[in-house]
Order: sequence, then C-alpha cells, then structure tokens
Amino acid sequence: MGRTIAVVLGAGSGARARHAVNKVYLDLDGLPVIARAVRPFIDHPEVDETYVVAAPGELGACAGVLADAGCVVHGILPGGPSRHASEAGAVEHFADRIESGEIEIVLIHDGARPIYHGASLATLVDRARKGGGAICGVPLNEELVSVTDHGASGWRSTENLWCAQTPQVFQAAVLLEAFRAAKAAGFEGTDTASTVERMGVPVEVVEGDPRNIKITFPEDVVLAASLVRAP
Amino acid sequence: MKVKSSLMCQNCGRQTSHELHYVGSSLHEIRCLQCSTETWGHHHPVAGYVGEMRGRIVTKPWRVLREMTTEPAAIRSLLPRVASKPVRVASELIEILR
Repeated sequence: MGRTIAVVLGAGSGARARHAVNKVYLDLDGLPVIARAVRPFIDHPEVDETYVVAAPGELGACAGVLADAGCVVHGILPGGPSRHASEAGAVEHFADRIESGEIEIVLIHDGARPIYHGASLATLVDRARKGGGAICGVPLNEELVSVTDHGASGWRSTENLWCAQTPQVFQAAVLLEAFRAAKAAGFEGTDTASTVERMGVPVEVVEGDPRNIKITFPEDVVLAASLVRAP
Repeated sequence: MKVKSSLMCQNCGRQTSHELHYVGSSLHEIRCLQCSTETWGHHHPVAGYVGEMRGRIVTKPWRVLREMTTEPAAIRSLLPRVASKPVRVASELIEILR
C-alpha cells in the first residue's frame, strides 16, 4: 500500500481588514484553530504525512503558529485565491509522487474545523481505498421551505439530504485526474468531493459528528470555544 | 486582548470585519465592526478568569519545570517575566472590570 497524506486547508481569506488575522489563527482556549484542525492527523496511524496549505503571505506565520502549538507537519504549501485553487495546487504539488504510486490516498480537511477528533478516519480511508472517495457528512435535520415575494411557497423534504463535512478522502490518482480535468473544463468545485463526483467516481458518505463545525459565523467561534472545553 | 478577523455576519449578510475580545484565553465578546451586532462568549468574565487563573497557578510549577528542561536558554528570560507578571495580571484584571 502507498502512503496516505493529509492536507489541511488554512489559506482562507479571513484577514481582509487591516491588522486582522485569518480566522484559522484565532485562539480557541489557548490553542489556535489551525493547530486544533491539524492535530488529529499528526499522530494518527492512518496518516503518514501531514501538510498545511497557508495563504502565500502567511507561510512563515503559519509555521510559527504550528511550531508554538507543538504541531510538527511535513510541509506548508502556498494556497491559491480560492479553496478549489488551493486544493488543486496542493494535489499538483504531489503529482510526481502520486503518478509513481508512492502516494495512494489524499485526505483533505478544512483548517476552520477545529473539533474533528479523527474517529471516522480509518473508515474513510478504507472506503476511499475501495471505492474512490469517501467524505464525512451529517443528516440535515431541518425543515426547508421555498420563499418567494409572496411568502412561503412550498415545503421541501430533507430526506436524503446531508451536510457535507471534512475530512474528505480520495484515491490520490483519482484526485489528480479530477483536478486536471476540472482545470481543462474551467470547473471550480465548492469542495473536493464535487470535483471528484463530476468525473463519475462514487463518493461514499460516512456519518460524521455534528460537532465537527466549520467556523464561519461569530456564533461558531463561541460554540467551538465551548466544545473544546467540554470534557 | 482584542483581535480583528473576518467572519460572516448574519445581520449584514456578508463577510465583515469582527473584533474579538479575549479575557485571558476566554472569548468574552465578538462585535461586527460594520453593524455593531454583538455575540457573547463567556457571560461571566470574572468567574471565567478566576477559574482560568486557578488552573494557571496549579500548573505553573510543571510548566516552569518543563521549560527549564526542554529549553534551558529560556531560563535567562525567566526573571524579567516573573518581575513583569504582576503588571500583566493587573492589566488583564483591568480589562475584565472595564
């Protein structure tokens, strides 16, 4: 079997204001979000190498933050202007090792998801190895309604609808081919799975943890801070 | 300590600059700098700070010992840090009580 590498995306444009910090460097109970996102993969038996994608202007800062947090990664790669570009750049960075068969599995995780504990990782890697790709997800337990100018116009069943999470795990060769095909077609995926799925490769969904939230809204920072304090 | 970061504001409906106010390592408040919507973290900053301070005091000997064994060069900066500690704790307290 080839090697499994984890790529944690931390190049988000969270620092638009002057003197602002990227949200992945925000402190959560004494440890930055990105360090909490990286930590589950560093010592995980399924993962051989861990990389972080940082904004081109934050490579040094990212290295410093991770070192201060005691997170030893194999490398920090420069990100692109979008999530898709960052993923594509990272996968292309490993193209030679993927094509030679040295890297078999690539795992993509969002650097703004600090609550993942790695519990489903072995299952995800196993399913990706067998089928092509596997992602974490949770069932959508919400009521959906269409709204027009005249008010509610119809309720939508959420049966079979799930919220996609990360980690998203793929056979490395499939991922490389998917990103090259996306580039040729000018396709920009919203997440890794959407780029792979358009190739007709089945992506299995493994039930994840609802607590594996992505920090987007201020409330998410508050919730994440309380979740990391929870026993 | 106050930190600025871009987060999605429900009220503005887009990503805006927010100011996050930490007391010690506890998140106290987040405020949207566009619409001033506030999101509260720890509602009782004094209680949170006291709890955190208790933990810091209890673990201090171990943290100093670990630092002395893993980073002997850091011993040189120990005295200035000890000397400035009361001032740093006082500034944290002033920030909470403000």
